[in-house]
Amino acid sequence: MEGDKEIVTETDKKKSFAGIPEAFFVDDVDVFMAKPENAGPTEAVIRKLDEQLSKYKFMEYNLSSKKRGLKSQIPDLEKSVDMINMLKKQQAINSGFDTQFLLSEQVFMKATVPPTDKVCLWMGANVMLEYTLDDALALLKKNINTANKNLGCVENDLDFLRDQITTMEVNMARVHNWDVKRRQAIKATS
Amino acid sequence: MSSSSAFHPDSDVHVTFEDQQKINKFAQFNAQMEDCKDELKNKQNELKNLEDAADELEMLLDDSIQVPFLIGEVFVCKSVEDAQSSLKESKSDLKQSIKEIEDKCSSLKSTMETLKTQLYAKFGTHINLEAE
Repeated sequence: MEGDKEIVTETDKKKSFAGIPEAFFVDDVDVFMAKPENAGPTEAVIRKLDEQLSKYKFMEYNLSSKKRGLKSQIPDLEKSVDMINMLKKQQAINSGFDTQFLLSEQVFMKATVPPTDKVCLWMGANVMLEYTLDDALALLKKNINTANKNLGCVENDLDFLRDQITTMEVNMARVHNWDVKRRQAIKATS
Repeated sequence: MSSSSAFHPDSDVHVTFEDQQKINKFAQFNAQMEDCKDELKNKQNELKNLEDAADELEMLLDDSIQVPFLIGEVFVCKSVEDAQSSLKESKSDLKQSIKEIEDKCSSLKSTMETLKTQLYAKFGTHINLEAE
């Protein structure tokens, strides 16, 4: 069973995680155009391809914004890690330090932070939890790892999506060229 | 799209599945390359800011004052010496990641060059692989 699973992941490696359908590849345009569903005018076929292309483009747009979100999230987490490391250092030498912290946009306040072994992490949804420095550090590192892993998935999906978009674009260009040639042939015989 | 009267001298060049894969790969690498370039630019900007900050610190005459040093959203007051060592640390981290990105860029570039020669050899003027 375990072995089966591994084979599957091996072959699915380049596939998408989000279940993006794979674009079909047109091997021979003549054969493709001779299919019963493509019997109508060439414009209709191209329109159908274009429709699918715009679906892919829409998915690409969504994934790109997801990627941007993750990319901005990671530095934030890393900054929090920096801060906790700083707090740990201060705790080790048992001395407080002066800070100027953001009170609201453009307004900073002076504050002295005594040595501390606790820190509150913002959980989102108006929830904040208190952690010891080490626990907070562990949690943040875990979050960074998760974010990086998700970023990897999204990037893989984007690569996959790009493949499908390129395939569709090439398909459209080839059907179009095929049509141009066909028209020229008709013109030449008439 | 070009008008139907456009001249396609030899437009029946057959695209095989392998060719398609190569084109796909090329497009994929091209996109990754763009990402890399963006990231590189950001990091280089950041590095420049850090260097400017370090220069400013050098110019301070009074070494006993505390300088506010930004960590996340909070300025932490540090001694000049502390601030300098923190700057140095961030600078070397940044340089490291810039180097990694540059390496990735150049390996992408060489793969893209290989694909480019193969594709141009097959399709000639029917394909355009130049960046805009």
